[in-house]
Amino acid sequence: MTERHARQSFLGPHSEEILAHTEVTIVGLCGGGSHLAQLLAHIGVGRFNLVDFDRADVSNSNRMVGLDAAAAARKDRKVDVIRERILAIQPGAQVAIFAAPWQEVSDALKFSDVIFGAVDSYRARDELERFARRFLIPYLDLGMDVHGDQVPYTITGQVILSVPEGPCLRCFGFITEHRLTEEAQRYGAAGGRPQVIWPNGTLASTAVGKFMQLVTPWSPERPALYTEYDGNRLTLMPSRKLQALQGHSCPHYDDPLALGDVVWGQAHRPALASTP
Amino acid sequence: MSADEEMLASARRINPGAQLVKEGGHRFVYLPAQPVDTGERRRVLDALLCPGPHSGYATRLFLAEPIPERDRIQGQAANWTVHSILGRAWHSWSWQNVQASLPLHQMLLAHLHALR
Amino acid sequence: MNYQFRIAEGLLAAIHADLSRPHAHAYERVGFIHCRFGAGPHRSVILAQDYASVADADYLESEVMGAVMGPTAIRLALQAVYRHQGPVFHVHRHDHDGIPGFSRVDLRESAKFVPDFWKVAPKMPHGAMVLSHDAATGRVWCPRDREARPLTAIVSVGTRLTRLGAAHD
Repeated sequence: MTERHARQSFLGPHSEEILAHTEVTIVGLCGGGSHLAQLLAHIGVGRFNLVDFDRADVSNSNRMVGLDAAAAARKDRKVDVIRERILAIQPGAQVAIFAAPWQEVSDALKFSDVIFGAVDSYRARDELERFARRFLIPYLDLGMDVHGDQVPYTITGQVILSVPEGPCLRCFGFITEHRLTEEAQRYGAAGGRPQVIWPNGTLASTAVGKFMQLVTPWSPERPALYTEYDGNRLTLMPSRKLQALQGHSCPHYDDPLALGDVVWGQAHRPALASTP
Repeated sequence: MSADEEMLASARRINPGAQLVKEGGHRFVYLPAQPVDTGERRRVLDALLCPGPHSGYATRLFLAEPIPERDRIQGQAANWTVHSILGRAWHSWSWQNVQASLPLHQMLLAHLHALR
Repeated sequence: MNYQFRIAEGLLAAIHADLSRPHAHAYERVGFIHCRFGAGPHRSVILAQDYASVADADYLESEVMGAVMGPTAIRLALQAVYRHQGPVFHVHRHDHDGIPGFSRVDLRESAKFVPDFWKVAPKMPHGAMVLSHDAATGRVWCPRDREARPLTAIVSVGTRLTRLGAAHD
């Protein structure tokens, strides 16, 4: 083990190598994603796919970790800002960047070991989770919300781990058709949702903690699938929904075409991929 | 004839290669190489028609590519969005009120009409 | 082209449970893992979907192996692959911990029957896998060059991501 990892040797004798060869995808590089990227770089993850179609601006400065004033003023692409931060922390990391909607570059993401979703909408989460399930990839979703029009405000958040054969975001009631419809009807409504740095930091750290339980053997405990954040009490607790879903079998991914590539050909029946 | 078979028969009046596919509780009609007319230009694109509620719309048509010259439709911003369906990127625009009660070939024509 | 293999934890556990069942004659049980596929320009991923056990009656007695897969087992596997049109992996288990290896018999036999699956799913990679109690090794036959190569990674996916074999990438 190198000196760089000497203080985390408890993660296991092969942890440095495991982390160096682990490939993560982070979709969304602002509030939650910027924290995630740097935490993962510090801990030694060696392969990154960074996805965000947006450019940084001064309104991101309150929460996008690693965004300095000059980059905000230049409106640098978020993928470039975060790539630079990762390489400053870990010069040997392989960092692929995609300044596009993730749906348009998904072919490059199917080989990830883990996908992190730090996205803004229920629809994005729903589609990203479905894509992750299609390629048997664990999906870690995080997000926060500020509720209320005036004092007293409430801050909530969540980190949800969705794995094949396990309950999904729909099983947990986090994504529902009602929420998707409401969200679609609000599309274009004025104003960005409130976002602040400290809940994002807490949630990102929690997500990385779950990731570390996924990939290294340091803890015999398996990561809790759903952790809820109370931003007023400053607590993190396993969701009560976990108990209700013990022994539950997810019904949302049993379509015939749910796994692997689909071949789309002219006048052919869509079928699962036949050409390597 | 089942409801699905009727729906497919209706779709095949316009696209003989139409097939029914499902994902995430939604049914889609896959329309391979669907002609899409935008003014004087004809494109040929794979399309997916969702004949029921999807992302806040009563029905929705998705295309393999967006149509850049249709950034406004009937005076309103088209608001093109990209979606991942069956592992592939599909593009759709803001076009409401094509009801699920329409026969499928009429539903498809109503969506395509918006792009003319 | 390099090939990764992914399998959900529960499915892997079910395979182990089946391979653990005693057989009247066979020293080792076998089965078939039916898969789906994810393609990329330089790497691909094979996604385990279902497991089909070889029925007790479909083994033939063998002096060397106790029993081997009989023609019915092979015929049923070919039919399943024809219907499924996905990659298929023959699987059996060696009774130890640590990374297993293909025996000379394993290598010889798999080189004979694995390419037969191209008769029914010609564009798919097919292969063979050996499990141990806690690890795995696999070989995959690529339809492009018809050559066999090791799987570059075999990963069990659940609330633990476990790399079951040696990394080859």
